Amino acid sequence: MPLTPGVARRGFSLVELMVGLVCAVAVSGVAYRLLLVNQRVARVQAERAGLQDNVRAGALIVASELRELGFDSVPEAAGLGLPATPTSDILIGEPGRIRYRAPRGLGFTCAAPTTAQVVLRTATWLGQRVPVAQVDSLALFVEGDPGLSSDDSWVRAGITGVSAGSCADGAPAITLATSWEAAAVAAAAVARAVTGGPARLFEIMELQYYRQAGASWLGLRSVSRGEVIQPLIGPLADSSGGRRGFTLGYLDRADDPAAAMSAVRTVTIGLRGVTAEPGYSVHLHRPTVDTLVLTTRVALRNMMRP
Amino acid sequence: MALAVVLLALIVVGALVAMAFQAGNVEQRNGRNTLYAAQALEAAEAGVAVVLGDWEAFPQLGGLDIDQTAALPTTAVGGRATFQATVLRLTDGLYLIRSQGTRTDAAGSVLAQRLIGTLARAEGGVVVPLMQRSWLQLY
Repeated sequence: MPLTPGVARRGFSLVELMVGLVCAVAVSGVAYRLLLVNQRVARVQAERAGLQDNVRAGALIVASELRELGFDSVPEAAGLGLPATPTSDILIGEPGRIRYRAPRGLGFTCAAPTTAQVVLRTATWLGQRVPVAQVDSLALFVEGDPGLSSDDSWVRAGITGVSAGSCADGAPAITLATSWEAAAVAAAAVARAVTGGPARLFEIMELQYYRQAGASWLGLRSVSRGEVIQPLIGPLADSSGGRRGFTLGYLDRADDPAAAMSAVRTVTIGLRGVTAEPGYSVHLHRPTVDTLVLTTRVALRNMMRP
Repeated sequence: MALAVVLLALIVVGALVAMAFQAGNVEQRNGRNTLYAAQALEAAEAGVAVVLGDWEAFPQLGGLDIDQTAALPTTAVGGRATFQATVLRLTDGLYLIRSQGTRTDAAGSVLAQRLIGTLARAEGGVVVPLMQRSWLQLY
């Protein structure tokens, strides 16, 4: 259409539009680049934070689980006819797996124990949960001579039933029906156990480093309950190239590898975590999996004394 | 249009930076909480050690009746960690020593607490931990 003389031009010329579009594209490109880099940094930071949380929580949980482990050694002076060979709470100790008797509670007898039952005062029960029949086991403190510590011992029994009961003074109690491996030991143990003495409850647990769904995990399960292993911490590094995602070391009092589980005094815990998703580092052009290594050690408090 | 794009990009970048800051802040708090928990546990351990080591300094403990509890005064350990120990007499010769370690901030708010215990027995005028399985993690 021909321009009408004397009428002012409105809008933009083609050149102006092209310059404007070029500028807009250039600014958009810079903004996109900035956005991309920031997004990558944010993602890497979130992954890194998750990784640190993961490894730190793993070290805390494992140390907390193992700190209270100990061993039993029934001295000859106890007169129970049991061998004095120490029996450790660590039932299986491997670099990638530990099966152990996990303490689950502590109670105090409030009636004279018998071979059929142990009665614990409800008011003084200290535990994560109430006792469970066929799952928990019992270690009953047997004092013998009150003036001697050399005849003190802990004697084990199974728990076949749990019910509400009452103490000798009528106070509420938890009654544990017990099963013993040897009747003679049971009779001798309850005869020497003192009313008011402690009884500890245990559940057999297992921590295991395993692989599932293409990733490696630290899993936990209750062996006593027959559970399937469930992931607790992860993902961890695969066991390749001589590096493992989870490694336990068992050291004796001289900090040397322990020859037997009853000689373990310290457990070293090594965790090598990896990020759940590969992330772009700012300077790298391909995504990489970040790793974080944390090593700690826990002194087993109830294995300190000979 | 370019202004609009830049403004949008700035808003998005600002949001991402805020998220990264938040993630870092949470991570720092987690790390501090771990430290506080360790300090509380150490304070609790100190409480048990003090009761066992200074048993004779607390004459009320030896005079406890069975099933009677005595609470010892709260004691500061270092900067802002404290412990409070209680002793329960179980039998003539057996005691349960409980110690709660607490880490507080400057205002006195509790940051972390840990409760542990030790089974101990009287022997020759002093009290010593049981030979086996004396240490307890309490909740």
